[in-house]
Amino acid sequence: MEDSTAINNEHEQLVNRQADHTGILNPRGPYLKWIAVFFMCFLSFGSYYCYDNPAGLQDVMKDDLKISSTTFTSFYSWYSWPNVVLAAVGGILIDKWLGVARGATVFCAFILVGQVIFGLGGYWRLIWLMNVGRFIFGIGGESLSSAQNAYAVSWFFGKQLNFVFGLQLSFARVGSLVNMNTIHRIYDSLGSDLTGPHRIGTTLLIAVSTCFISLACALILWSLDNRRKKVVQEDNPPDPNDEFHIKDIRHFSASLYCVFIICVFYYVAIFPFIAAAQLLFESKYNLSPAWSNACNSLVYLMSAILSPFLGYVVDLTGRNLFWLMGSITTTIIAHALLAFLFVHPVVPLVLMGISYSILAASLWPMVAFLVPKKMLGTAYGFMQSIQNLGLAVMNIFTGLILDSYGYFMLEIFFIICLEVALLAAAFLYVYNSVKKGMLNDSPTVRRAKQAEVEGKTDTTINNVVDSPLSPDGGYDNYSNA
Amino acid sequence: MNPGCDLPQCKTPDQPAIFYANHYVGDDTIHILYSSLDELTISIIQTKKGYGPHINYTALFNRNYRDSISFGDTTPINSLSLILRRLLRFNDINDTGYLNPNDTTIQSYWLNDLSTNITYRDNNTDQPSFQLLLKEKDINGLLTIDINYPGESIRDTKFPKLRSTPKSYFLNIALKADNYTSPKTRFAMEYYIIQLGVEGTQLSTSKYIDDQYTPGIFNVWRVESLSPIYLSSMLWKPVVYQSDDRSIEKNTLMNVYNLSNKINLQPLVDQGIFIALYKKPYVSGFNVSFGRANDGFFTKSNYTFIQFTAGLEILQTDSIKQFVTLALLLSLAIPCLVAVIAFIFIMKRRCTRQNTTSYDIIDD
Repeated sequence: MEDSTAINNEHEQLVNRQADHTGILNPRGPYLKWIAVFFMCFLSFGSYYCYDNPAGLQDVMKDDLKISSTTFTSFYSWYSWPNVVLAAVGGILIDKWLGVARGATVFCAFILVGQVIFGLGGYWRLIWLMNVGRFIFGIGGESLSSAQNAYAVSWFFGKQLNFVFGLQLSFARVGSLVNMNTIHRIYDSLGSDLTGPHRIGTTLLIAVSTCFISLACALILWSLDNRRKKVVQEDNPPDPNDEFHIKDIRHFSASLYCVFIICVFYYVAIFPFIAAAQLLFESKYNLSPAWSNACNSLVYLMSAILSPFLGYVVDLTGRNLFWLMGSITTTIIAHALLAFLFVHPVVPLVLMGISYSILAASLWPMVAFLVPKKMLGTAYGFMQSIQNLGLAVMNIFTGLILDSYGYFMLEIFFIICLEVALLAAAFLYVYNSVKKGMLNDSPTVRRAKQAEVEGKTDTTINNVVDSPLSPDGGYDNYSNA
Repeated sequence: MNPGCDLPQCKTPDQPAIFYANHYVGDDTIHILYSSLDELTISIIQTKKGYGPHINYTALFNRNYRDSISFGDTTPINSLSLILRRLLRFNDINDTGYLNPNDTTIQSYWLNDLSTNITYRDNNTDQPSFQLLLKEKDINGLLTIDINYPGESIRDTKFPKLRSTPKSYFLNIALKADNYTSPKTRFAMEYYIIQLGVEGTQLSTSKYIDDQYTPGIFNVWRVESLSPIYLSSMLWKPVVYQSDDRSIEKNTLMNVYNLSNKINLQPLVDQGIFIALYKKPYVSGFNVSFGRANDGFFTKSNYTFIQFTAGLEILQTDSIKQFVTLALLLSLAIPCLVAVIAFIFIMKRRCTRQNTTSYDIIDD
């Protein structure tokens, strides 16, 4: 009697639980994950919106706060400094201690607090406080992107993951795009009784509202994730071998270091340029602040629209190195147009946007061809750390060059950086050819080579099992390519 | 200052004065004379070597300017005189940055009989500043005008880092003012240019790609004589600095108005040493206003600084042509070089593969 009562109770609970999870919020249903994707895409909206607040307000920020270009670009440096370390270990923080949901919420809180402090620092014209705010904002910003990626992997591993990544990247750029086209209008719309630092600070504090959007998305995703976890087994549990291990760095090949060099020297010519370009468009091309910001947002707009499509094209054709060299060359041409001619900035910026999208689609996947899977986490983490270190340092250089030598010299500096990237890409092409690597192969040849490697690896493993004194083989032959 | 003058007025401080310097350029002598006797006039004159000015100070201080300055029995080869006629104060109600000629509230401060900041001393070679105190009921200010003639090609170390030549000088104008009634106050200046020749002058602006000496400023203005014989010009960048350290964080732009040729001088107002230098002066004039729309008006900093260069040649814009050409070549040549090397490499590898596959299989 008691047993049947217990069984009946359990059956009732199951029925009731199933009844609770019907409709679009049914975790076993097809709709919940797409609802979650919506919130995942907007998770970083506040981060990307506020990241480029200085770029959108460059002319008035320098004027109202009475700061030099060096101080201005240091706002971007202070964002990057914490990520020299956090980019590498952010994944571990999420996987080991915080969890995706709590991690995303904590990082959203960081960006919110950071932006508030940044805004207050602007209001009171305390530059040191603004730098602190950007530092705290930086702690949350990049780590939030890691959390966003972790969410995507958790919900979509093995199914539509690339599509979701592309979607997230596009929506991330929407945040930047919206900032470029709205933040100056917000500044202009404030009452005339607000002047100077108070006006800047108020504008930055209004931008905090976008961080609340991110925080709301994080909390909603937490709820949806909990709902899902109750009934759906984790498809992709964290693999300890995917963690960052500093000792793995000694196994990185020359090719991978070339990829790191390209990553640093290419992005240095994009993000610091966007940060400092508004005044260039106003002074050289006589554009209004609104049009200057609109032009400045073109790179992000092109990226938001083209990234998924170009990513698909690069996947389809392979030949990553050709795409890479082409995109770097096109970016050089874009900067040369800005430096040497008075062509309307729309033309070079569209070129830059297309090149930026192609480079992202061709460069980042290369890492997967150059390191074994167990070192991927380390490699990507290290790559992001180096990128942030490069941006932190180069943003300072950008400001110094701008203050002392002007925009023409700054463009020459960017062109030089891009040419270093191009030379590294050319070296990578030659090295890859000599070592018979697969970076520039078509997808068919790549699959054939990978199958051959896996075949050899199996044979090597078998041989190792048979003979404990056999040397290492297998993947190492291709990691040196 | 006041070379060769024994009159009491020459030794009394805070009096209008005449300053003279010269420099040898080839077979010629470049003389620079600037005076605040009546209208502040800066003249740069070129003569054959061995000639200097003879100044009749009695006539000058009695305002009989005709023939009060001569260069012996020679006539100048070339000359340019710049008159800083007046400072204008206007109320920019609509915040356009522009001076409205129909504005009836424009206040003029005539730059006549400005005092110098140094006293007469024997062999005084300090270059003085001329100053106009603005002490009226509706304003409290100081206009300071410095003329700096280095006599050589040097670049100013401070922004806008204009460059002088052996035949040109720097003209620095700084205005500090407060206690004005309207928060929308702006200032402007009126300039007259007198040069030999009757072809007149033209005002032009040009853009250039290199802003390394004046970050963020990509254009330059120039007034140049249309005479093919008597070359002279003024050149400046349209940037207005709002602090005395001329930092680039605090600057705005100026508006330059159309130049007029063949202006008739007003005898009651237009008096100065230029009458001694030109029998029939051909006068051109233009205005410059300081600031642009939405820059917070003059009240934002209560300070304005602008710089000109002027001289007896067509002053060239900043353009390091060699560097620009080199930068252009390198920036485009390296990608081309990489493409060529990559192409050669690809062709070589293809040929190598073809040679390898062309061997016949040897049958045992």
